[in-house]
Amino acid sequence: MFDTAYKFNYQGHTKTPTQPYLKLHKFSFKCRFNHKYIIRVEEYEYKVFVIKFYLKNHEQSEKKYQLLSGLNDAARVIATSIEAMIWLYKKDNLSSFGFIGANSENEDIGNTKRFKLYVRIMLNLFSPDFFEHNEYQTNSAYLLLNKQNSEEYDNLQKVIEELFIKYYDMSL
Amino acid sequence: MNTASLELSHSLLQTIDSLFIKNNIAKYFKDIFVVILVILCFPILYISFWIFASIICFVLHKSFSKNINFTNAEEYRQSRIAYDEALPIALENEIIFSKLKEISKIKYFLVYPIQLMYLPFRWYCRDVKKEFEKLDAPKREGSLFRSISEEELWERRTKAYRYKL
Repeated sequence: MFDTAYKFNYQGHTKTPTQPYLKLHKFSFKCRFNHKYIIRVEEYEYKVFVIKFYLKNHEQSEKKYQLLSGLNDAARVIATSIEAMIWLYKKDNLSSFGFIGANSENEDIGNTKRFKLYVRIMLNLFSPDFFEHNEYQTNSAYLLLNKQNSEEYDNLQKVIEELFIKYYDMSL
Repeated sequence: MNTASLELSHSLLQTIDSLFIKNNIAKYFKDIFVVILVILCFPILYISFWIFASIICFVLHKSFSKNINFTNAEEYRQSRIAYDEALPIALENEIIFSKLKEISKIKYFLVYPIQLMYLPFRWYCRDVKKEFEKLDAPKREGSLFRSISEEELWERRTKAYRYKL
């Protein structure tokens, strides 16, 4: 399941003093239809990485995370994003990950189709041995909290939650 | 009547009588021997059965206890699969023996060594469950995110795929 990923390139990271996140990591890859995808990883405090990806053609659109590519290649594209997550984890095994399953047009923001799919993938590929799985269905947000890191920082989950509330317009 | 033939028939009768008595005594002692043999053998057999069951129990418990602790995702996955296989056996066995105990206590004690052989399954399930529960996050009040328990995570999986991490 989600085993066949595309080969991706790490394009490096940029420091972002004007943004809420500390660094912005970028990965790119080309799908079998020769379309380019961008994986954008925002690095926050406490080694929290928020993963996002979009089709390069949609880069200028405000709805780039909501648009569907129509290429029926979601499995491999998602698998590539997961490989990027694993790549980041291997670089720093204190990393925690988060994402939001964006809503498609005319879809509510809670428990979106993307969110349901991503959650199923997380359950199948990331063991509870390394990560604490947390979901927030109301906003289709998911958090893979690194257990090793949460042992190091007490209250890490609370801090990350505050971060989500602050930067992703979430509330209880 | 001829006295000689009378003596003959008398001695014949005596011979038949003595043979009959001898046969009866032999049969009696044979029966006694069988009874004594059964009385002596049954406890020996039962004790041997107990010893055999205890050895099986010990060997299984020792081999199961090796698989309780897991240090990585793959070992966790293997433990979970083993737990899922052992749990129905342990539960089924428990139901069968509790029913038997209700029906007849003698029969229950007679077959108890069989239950003894199933005990390691129950112990394994109990011990490994404790290990799984250790993976659960501590409960946090007023949390924005809902922490998914280890059990829920496993149950929501579509198949026991290998973990990537």
